[in-house]
Amino acid sequence: MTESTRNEPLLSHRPYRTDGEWSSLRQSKAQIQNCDLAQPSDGSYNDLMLKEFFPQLLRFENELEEARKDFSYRFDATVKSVHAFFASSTDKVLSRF
Amino acid sequence: MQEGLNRLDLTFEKLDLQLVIDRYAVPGREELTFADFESMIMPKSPVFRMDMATRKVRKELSQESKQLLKKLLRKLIDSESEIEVLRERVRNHTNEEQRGLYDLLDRRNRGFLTTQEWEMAYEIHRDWLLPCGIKPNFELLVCRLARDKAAAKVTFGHFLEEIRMKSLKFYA
Repeated sequence: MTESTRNEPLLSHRPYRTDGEWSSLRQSKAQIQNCDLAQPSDGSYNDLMLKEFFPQLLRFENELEEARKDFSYRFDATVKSVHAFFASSTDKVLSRF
Repeated sequence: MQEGLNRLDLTFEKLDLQLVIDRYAVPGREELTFADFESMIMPKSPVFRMDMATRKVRKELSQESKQLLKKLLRKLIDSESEIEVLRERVRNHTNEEQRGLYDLLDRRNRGFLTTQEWEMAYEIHRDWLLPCGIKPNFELLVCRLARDKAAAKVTFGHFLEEIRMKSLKFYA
């Protein structure tokens, strides 16, 4: 990443999803449940896992990594300050609902 | 964590948050340490991590950074929720079937899986990865399955932990 890229306004140069798109979890879940595989399945457990489960898991991890990269080079604070935003001054851990 | 999410105007189901905590916390704990938290929001790529470490930054969160954080957290939480849906789809299978698949992947009978085993599994059937629009990065998969450990070895225990439904555990 170049210094000029780093200094650009945080929300200016990358297309972001809208709130509506981010909140389309229900639709996305339906897509997973109705996912049509391009390859015919023999219905076995191995087939299901190798053709569907792990490819989908890979997709999620790829997307998460891209989201983390995007976040990491555009936000202007430290991880520590982000952590502090969630944890109180006396907490060292995040939990509790 | 709920308070922090509230301050970002983010609302999620309790189960969705539990899924995230379970994914990134040390197994058996219901808390995210700073290291867990860092693992959750920082990229795995060393290049990006190095860049982050050497950057001059503010200590306080700006409004822009809060928006970026909000989007990332939504993505993290939504992803874990969707992965749980995947687990639900494959839940009705026996331990023998799960063991059989693991042994099939563990071609060298080493008792653990690395990126090499995953590469071999999909070597002939790259097209299996195409329907989901994937550019395969098996390091990310292994990193997830091995719970972000540097050893990058996926044991049968790791394997089971990933494929079994979490929500059953929470409601048990």
